[in-house]
Amino acid sequence: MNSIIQYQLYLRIENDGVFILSNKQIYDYQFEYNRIICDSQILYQIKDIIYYYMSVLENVRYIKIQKIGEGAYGIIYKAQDVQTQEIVALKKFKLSDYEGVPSCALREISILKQLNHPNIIKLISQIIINKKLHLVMNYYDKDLTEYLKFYHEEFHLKNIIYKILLAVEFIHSRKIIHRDLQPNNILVKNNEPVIIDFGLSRVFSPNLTPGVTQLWYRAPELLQNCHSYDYAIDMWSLGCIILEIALNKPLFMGQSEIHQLLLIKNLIDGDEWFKQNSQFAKFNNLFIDLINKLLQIDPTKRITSKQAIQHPFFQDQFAFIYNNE
Amino acid sequence: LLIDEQNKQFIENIDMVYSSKPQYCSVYAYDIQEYLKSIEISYQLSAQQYFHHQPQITQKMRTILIEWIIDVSAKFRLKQDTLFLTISLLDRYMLTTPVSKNILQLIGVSALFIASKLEEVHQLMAKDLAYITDKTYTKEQIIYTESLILKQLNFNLTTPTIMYFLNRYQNICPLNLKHFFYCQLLI
Repeated sequence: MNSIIQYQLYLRIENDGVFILSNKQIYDYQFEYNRIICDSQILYQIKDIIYYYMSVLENVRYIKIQKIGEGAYGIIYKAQDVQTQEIVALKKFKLSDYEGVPSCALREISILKQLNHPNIIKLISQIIINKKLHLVMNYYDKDLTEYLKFYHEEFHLKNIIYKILLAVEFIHSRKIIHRDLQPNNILVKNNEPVIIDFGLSRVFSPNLTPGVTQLWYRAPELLQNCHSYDYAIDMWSLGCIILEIALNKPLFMGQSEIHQLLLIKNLIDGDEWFKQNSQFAKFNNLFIDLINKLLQIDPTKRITSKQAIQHPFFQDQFAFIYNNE
Repeated sequence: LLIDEQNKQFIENIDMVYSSKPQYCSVYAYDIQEYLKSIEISYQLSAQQYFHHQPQITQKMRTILIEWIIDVSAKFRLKQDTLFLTISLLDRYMLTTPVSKNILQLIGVSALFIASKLEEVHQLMAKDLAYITDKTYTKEQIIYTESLILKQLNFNLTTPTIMYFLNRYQNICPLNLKHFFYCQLLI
């Protein structure tokens, strides 16, 4: 019986109101919530009440604070760990009656369990409550798009690019393709990037579905409906992301697959495409070389993440993204 | 140590031969192999311990179950990876939990269900799996057992399977195709 209580008692705090459990309900194992409207002054008192209940029921672990995001798979909440006072992110998957645990959740958990790296999100635990699967992960408040809205020092940007490449190299060396790299899936805290959302990623195998990655960051071979791609698709997305960091706006903003292909074709034309475009004139030569190697249309010519971290752009301390002159 | 270094060099050179074919993912091959080898040890099972835990299950029953799973996976045209993953999940679950005779097949089906979700492009339906057991078990039972297995294994699902190592050794020192298929038959 204990284990049931452990999972059933979630106390929810929302922006304007608080849901708490009454004493009787706790003993009845009935889980209806009484709603108390409050302003921020008495929120503290109510928090005390909640902590009192928490001490009564040591099994309560997380308080939901706020909804952060929503996707096809489920909902993400910001929550607080009662025991350590730590802020965490809860990712909720709905378990369907027909198919049990969704395969994206299965893949995400089993993959995250294998990846232990400072620049990859940590899975703290996973719990099943009421036919809903919750993943508990570290909480970060900014993603890369929001981060780029403010001005940042160049060496921070370079550091972020390097750390992302390191993380991707780590993922690839574990035989895993991420398949959904985009700025929204890279969070930043104290200028350190963290890769999240392994819902689409999977262990490498020869036959795969082409409909992955967000359209703007999708590699050309995927746009052409290729079924046997490899790690290179992640490198293409990385190329787009790195250029986005430098240009401060998305590179290809296609509305459909054909449009996306056209945009890519228009920009990347011949070997010296970056010289013809005035946008790229301010960039350092080494940086342009790196981008050129990442954004190769032919996936076999694209450099791998291993070669990318050994690229001279990162070896040379004084090579920055922009030309200083 | 020097020999190790030379060996590594040698293997890397071989990997480079395949660098034009992306499917062999040659750049990472060495890293992947080392990593998989290192985690394989933690998943190794001992036969003695295995049946010691299971009062009701005999070696013969496991054989029958696995033969049945192979039949099913051939019928659904599943990948070989899925098959090996199923068997590995099944064994790891049985190693920790005593299983009674009448639900042995249920455990097998649920393991197949999990493996197909992980490996296949189009996952199997619980409905179909219930049908394939001659309606011995309902799909609710399969889904429930699935969550039991997941909890027991604590979601540690991706295990290195023998298929990967065979393909890798085939790349390093190519046998002719006849021998290669014979090896596949053996495992």
